[in-house]
Amino acid sequence: MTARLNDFLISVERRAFRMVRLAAANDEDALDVVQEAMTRLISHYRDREEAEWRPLFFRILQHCLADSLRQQRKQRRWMFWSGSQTDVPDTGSADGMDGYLGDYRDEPDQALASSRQQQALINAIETLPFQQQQCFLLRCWEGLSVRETADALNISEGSVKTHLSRARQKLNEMG
Amino acid sequence: MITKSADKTSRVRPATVTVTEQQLLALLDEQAEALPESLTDQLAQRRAAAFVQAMADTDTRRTSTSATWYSRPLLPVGVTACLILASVIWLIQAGKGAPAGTHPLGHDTVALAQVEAQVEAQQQLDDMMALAALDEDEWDILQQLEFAYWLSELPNANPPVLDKAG
Repeated sequence: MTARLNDFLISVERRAFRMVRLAAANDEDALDVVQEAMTRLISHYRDREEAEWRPLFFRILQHCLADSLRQQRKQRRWMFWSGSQTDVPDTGSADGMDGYLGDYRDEPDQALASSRQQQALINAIETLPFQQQQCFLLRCWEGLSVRETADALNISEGSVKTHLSRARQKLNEMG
Repeated sequence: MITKSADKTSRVRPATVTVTEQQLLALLDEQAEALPESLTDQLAQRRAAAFVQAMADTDTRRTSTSATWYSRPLLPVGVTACLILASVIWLIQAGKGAPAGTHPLGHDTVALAQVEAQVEAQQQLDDMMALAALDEDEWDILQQLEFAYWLSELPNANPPVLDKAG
């Protein structure tokens, strides 16, 4: 059971990290969220059917991400009112993905154009409102069903469809 | 081991995806697969830590479940019942042969009962001494008086006329 669960976590951890990293402030926060989701899955749901792990994991991941963002907002509000200036540690670039947007050393012009296009796409999804962004990632990237996406984000199926429609519209406009 | 291809087949993406969306999804796939080694190492460490922490949490839950038996709602009832039972047993034992000083009913009550018993015994002794001191004539008079008292207690009985001489 533990070995299979470990294999499952290996299969989803990179995508989970990438998904969380689009919304989190830095790599460290994203890693914390992924670890918390893993811990909860192992702790509470390891005895469930293997087919249930994936939707459960992404549901837990979304809850952990929402908690983390809520805490960050509180912290920022408190820092604003107390007047303290504490920089949030950032271990990477804006989305922590510098250096692996593609390797085009042979054709600099093509590389630049492609890199700009890719950055524009990443910027487009990063600037989406949280629920639209996560609806798109869960539904279109992870391929969860509308029901599973609704459960993960704790919203109705109708809201999922609305958020997804708006997200796709904005992405296509910006892209 | 879940293979990458098997994992991908379990994902069902919407059928109508635009070119921009396809590019974005492909880029996300590529980025997820091509995470820097430092990040993949950290993810592996976090996964190991998650297992350790989850197992520790499970052990803690088990321990706390067995340790908090006393916090269950039935405990106060049980404790109260035991206290009542112990009190009853102690009262019974104390009433059977405990020294007067430790009698649960209190010193005053015990002392009064003892005095009453002593007074009664003393009265009986006095009566016997008085009877023993009577001479023959006084004894006859006493017997006649008792006989007369006995007759007076009979229903519709006239009291006997005592002999003036007796």
